Amino acid sequence: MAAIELVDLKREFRQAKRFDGPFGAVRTLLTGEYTTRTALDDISFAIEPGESVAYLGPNGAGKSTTIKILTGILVPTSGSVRVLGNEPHTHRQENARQIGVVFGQRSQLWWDLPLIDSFDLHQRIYKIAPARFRANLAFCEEVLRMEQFLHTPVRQLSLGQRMRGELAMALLHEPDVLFLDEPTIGLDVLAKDRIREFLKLVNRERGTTIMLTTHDLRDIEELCERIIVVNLGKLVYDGRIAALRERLGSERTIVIEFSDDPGTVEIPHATLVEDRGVRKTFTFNRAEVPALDLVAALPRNLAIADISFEEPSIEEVIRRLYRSMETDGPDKEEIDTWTRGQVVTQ
Amino acid sequence: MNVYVAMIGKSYRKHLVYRSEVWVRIAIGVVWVAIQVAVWTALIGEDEVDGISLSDMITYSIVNTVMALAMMDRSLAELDQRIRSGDIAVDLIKPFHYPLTLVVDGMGRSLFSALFSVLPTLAIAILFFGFQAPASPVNVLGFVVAFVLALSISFALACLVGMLGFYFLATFHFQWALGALRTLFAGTMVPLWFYPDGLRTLANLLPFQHLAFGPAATWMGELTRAEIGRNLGLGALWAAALLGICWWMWARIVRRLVVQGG
Repeated sequence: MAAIELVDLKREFRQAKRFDGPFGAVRTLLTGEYTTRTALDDISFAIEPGESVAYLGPNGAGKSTTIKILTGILVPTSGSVRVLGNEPHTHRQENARQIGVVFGQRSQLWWDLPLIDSFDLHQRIYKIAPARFRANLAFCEEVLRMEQFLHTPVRQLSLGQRMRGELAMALLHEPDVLFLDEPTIGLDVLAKDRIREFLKLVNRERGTTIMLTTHDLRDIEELCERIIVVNLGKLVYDGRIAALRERLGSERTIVIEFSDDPGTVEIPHATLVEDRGVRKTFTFNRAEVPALDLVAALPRNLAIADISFEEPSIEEVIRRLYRSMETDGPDKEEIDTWTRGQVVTQ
Repeated sequence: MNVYVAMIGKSYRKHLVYRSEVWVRIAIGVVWVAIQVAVWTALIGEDEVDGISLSDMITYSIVNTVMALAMMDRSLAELDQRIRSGDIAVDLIKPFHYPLTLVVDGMGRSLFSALFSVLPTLAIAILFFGFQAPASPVNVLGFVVAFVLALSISFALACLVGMLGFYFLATFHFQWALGALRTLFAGTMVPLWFYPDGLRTLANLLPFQHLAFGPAATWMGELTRAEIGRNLGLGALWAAALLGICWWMWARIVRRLVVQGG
């Protein structure tokens, strides 16, 4: 059984139609006309137990709507949704006991009380056996290094400390599925690293299924092998990051440093993108020409100090994907063809 | 249930954090009693008005001030904010009943108030201004029941205003209106027995008198047993009705949030 399963999930929102002009507000009030906006349009995917999946999309793509439906606080317009076999919105409380949720922008801790008090209350709410609770707390305390601030009131914690607290709380009742909505938002590099390490450990050691939304693509690189991308309510990509990189990121960069400025240098199959005299940057398509052939094709008479290749970062890959969704650029058609294939075949 | 009992404790401790508030609240309570005593001394002096003496009015003022201190249910101000900011989603995800957590939060606050502002204020006020003992044990019992009803009605009213935040952009004007209605019809400052007949009839038709005048008059033995009984019955009806409306409105809001997506 899949941990999370969506089949043709659709969610529409009705919004009062707004009119312009000085009496627009009055017209809005009187006409009672509505426009329907589709936030999620026939989304289908399944996540197996123990998987760690990044759920991506530009702002307003429908990520939060999906998380809300999965946590049972929003009812889908049509389609079916299952989390660990339950339909979340009809079994909200049962679902709640089996999942952990962290909203990066919303705190679930008791603001005025020490962190430990929130955990204590959590134990009672989720009816966690004392021995299990102690073991889980000890685990979180150690890995997230919370001992220095466990007894500090939440309002005095730094954002990074608070996020660690939120994460620990979401895991104390040993949920099988963990939903993370932008868990690293606003954190410094060290705090982000710590949280990623922790999530990796939880996913690996406990087999907790993780689904996270993020705008920080380093999160994905470190945590998730699979990504699901939505845009304007539609599923645009579901698959491994490596595959996406292969398709979108076949373009490589080669940087050559010469001992003396050689003037103009031409390399077959490569395009010059930056020329700083002794340091020249070219791009080439890996599918068209193997990197070794490219190096072999370099003019022999030039003294070369250093050669380096640069892989496209995941940022670059995702940026290209988003951009291609927005504009009908040259990539558009190519991406359309293969994403369509990808979605249909999976 | 265990959860909710624990929450009372947490809420109590939460308020304990702001210890400086204690002194301010005691000071406000004592000053408030002092002002009322000064006003009634000027108005009544050594005489009696309609059979009410200065000593009666001092007792009335103290009882009402003490009740007001125990009631200030501000935990509901958060409700309005949580609904509007969408933070309510976090509360809905948890496996507990959110409205009940508001009730127990209020109880923790009241417990805190009882120990740290009601009792000290009461002691100081009695010491400085004198206080009439209750007329009989029946009056004490009646007062306790009336006070519980007052807490319920005040909670329900604040809850309703808080939930209006879901439908309106701001609720401060509703809060003002509620405050004004309370001041006028609860008889917090001027007991209803001084009201002209028309206004008093109107006050009797509204729930507000159960917040202040009812319990205080019961304590002082100004009501006959039959009147106490009728008052408590009416108060219970109001409390049940208002809490029922709260429940219904909450269910509606949750359904709207969940089905329509706010």
